[in-house]
Amino acid sequence: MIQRYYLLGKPNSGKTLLFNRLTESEKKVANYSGATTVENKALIPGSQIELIDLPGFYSSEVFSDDEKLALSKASQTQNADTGFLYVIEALKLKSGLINALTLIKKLSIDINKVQFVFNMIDELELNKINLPQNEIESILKRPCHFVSALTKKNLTELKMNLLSLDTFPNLSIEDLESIQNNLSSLKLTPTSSFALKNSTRLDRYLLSPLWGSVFFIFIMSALFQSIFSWSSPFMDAIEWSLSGISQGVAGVLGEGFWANFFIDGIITGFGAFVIFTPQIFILTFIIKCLEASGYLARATIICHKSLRFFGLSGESFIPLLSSHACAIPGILAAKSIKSKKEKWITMLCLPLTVCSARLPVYALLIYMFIPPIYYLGGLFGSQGLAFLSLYLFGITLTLIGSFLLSRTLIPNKGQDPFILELPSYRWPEFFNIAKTSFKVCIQFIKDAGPMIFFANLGLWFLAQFPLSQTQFSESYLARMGRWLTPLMEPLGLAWEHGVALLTSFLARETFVSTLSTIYSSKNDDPMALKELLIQSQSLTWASGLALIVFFAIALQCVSTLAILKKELPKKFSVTMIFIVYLFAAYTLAWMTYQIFS
Amino acid sequence: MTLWDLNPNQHAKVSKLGLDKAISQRLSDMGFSQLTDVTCLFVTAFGGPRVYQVGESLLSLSREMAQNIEVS
Ligand SMILES: Nc1nc2c(ncn2[C@@H]2O[C@H](COP(=O)(O)OP(=O)(O)OP(=O)(O)O)[C@@H](O)[C@H]2O)c(=O)[nH]1
Ligand SMILES: [Mg+2]
Repeated sequence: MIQRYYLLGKPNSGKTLLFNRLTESEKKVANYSGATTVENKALIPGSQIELIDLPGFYSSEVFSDDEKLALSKASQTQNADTGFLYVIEALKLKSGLINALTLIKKLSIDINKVQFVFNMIDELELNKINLPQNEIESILKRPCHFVSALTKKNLTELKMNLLSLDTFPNLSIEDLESIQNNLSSLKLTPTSSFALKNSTRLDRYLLSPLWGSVFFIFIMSALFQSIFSWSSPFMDAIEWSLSGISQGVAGVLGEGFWANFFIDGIITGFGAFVIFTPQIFILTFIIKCLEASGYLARATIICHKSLRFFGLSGESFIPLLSSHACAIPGILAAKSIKSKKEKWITMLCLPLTVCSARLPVYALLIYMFIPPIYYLGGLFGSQGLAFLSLYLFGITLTLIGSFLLSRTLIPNKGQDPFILELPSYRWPEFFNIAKTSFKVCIQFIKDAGPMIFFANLGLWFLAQFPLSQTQFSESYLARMGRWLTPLMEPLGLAWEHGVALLTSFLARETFVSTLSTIYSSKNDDPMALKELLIQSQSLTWASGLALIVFFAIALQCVSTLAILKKELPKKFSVTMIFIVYLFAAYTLAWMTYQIFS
Repeated sequence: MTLWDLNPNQHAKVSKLGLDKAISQRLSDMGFSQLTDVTCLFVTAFGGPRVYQVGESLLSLSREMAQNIEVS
């Protein structure tokens, strides 16, 4: 009796979407090869059967980690309770089947355990092609399922079939040969022109030497600048509701210790960070739309040559782009890079890109220092452009880092075995993507929330005690904070920033909430953090820049360090990586302050 | 003639894969086997990877790869 099914197939054949549909999961689906780099497991609801989604692979010759993983699982055929679902794109049925049968033979996969799933039949229907389903099944002599994971067509039947016991004739190796022979005589409507039509309409421009580069730069700048421009109304709305809540609490509790505690200690601190979730939403939304569209594979080609100069390759592009949302999915995406050295360099330098946890800090500084001015009827704004330049700064640091690494510690002059299949362009499902992006934001709050809550609570108490204090500067917090002065002074920063920098090692977002708690304890009027900071005049241009530089470089995220430890070979000590990043952050921040003050 | 010498919209047949064994195997599993028809589709800026059509798939190859695939 089959207990588990592995999903095999070429990259981008729709395995993960099928997995998600059959097991009601939400694993990452994207329209390029190499979206899945680890195995996903889940039970089919209402049964004891486990479904395991694997990275896709083309060949028995594999180079990257994700393909190696898939191959090693596919070769485990000795277990009697294991079956395989071979997923093949319906529009590429014949070449897909030839490839599948070659691999089944080569990897000695027991053909009697394989069922074929022809996915994406919605695309066949769109192009008005009929498949001779019965003929295909009689040639293959194995269960064949014609489904669409996207429209869910025939998925219920597939599920029922997996749960029931099928009796099919037992096939031998010789039968496999005859299947291969019969397959070559199978006549199908040629489908090659559809792939071509889908691509040429757009790629004529998007891959052309001139317009391709222009469009690439336009898309990337629009991405980073819209995070800022589009989020303002949502941020205003959140700010408005937070102040409403504060007033409500004040109305109920009146004035005094507890009101103070709730308003300064919790709502202000928490709000200082929650207010930036619209930006995270927009960033995630746009990146996911790009992933679903099929454009990212084109972008990979366009920047391959330039990235190679910096010791990376086109394959590093998607990991680097994803790391703008969070470094962790970026590092996982880097597992599909074929060259080992390029993979290491990508993983080591990718924490320098601007991840969304840095967003609140940057956004706060921009709101403080850059007055909003709009150009071209609001299409571009000064704050959005400042934001874009911070992203460019992160990318520049990443490239400098990889350039240096590839010329010193990880010499990478090797070959350039670049080969990539281009997916068809597809319309992103905007509504579903919006839903996922919303969940990402909730998760973001959930992840950083407890940390921020407890850090704020601790800080607030330290700021309130001893109760005998007459001034804030006598509080425990101020007394302890002043120990940090010698470290902060060279950067032009005050001890308050020092405390916030310390807590930001718990989670980067804590920086804004800490500052907010400290300054609102100092100040009796309830105000947004931005105004508090402006009023306190504690930050100058030069010290603001130093702060940005420190934040841009320091690797403060424990989860990133943990995953680096897991994914990099032992010779890279994670402690060393942390120290090097910290040292570089402090030194460069110091230099920045000295130059600009 | 090698694959890299093809101009956009030019067709040819693959005659020899002059790359090391593992990569050749992988290429042929991806569709680049002997006697298959290839068409060059797009040429990108700065000698970057080019896009070819092989059967139902669009594959992009770097210069180093394409120069080692002989076509006729
Ligand atoms: N039209 C259509 N698109 C589909 C269907 N199934 C999957 N897709 C799309 O195909 C693309 C690839 O889907 P994935 O599920 O990520 O493919 P995969 O096989 O897991 O890919 P790797 O993880 O890279 O091996 C995504 O853009 C999906 O939305 C389908 O039945 N019809
Ligand atoms: Mg997948």
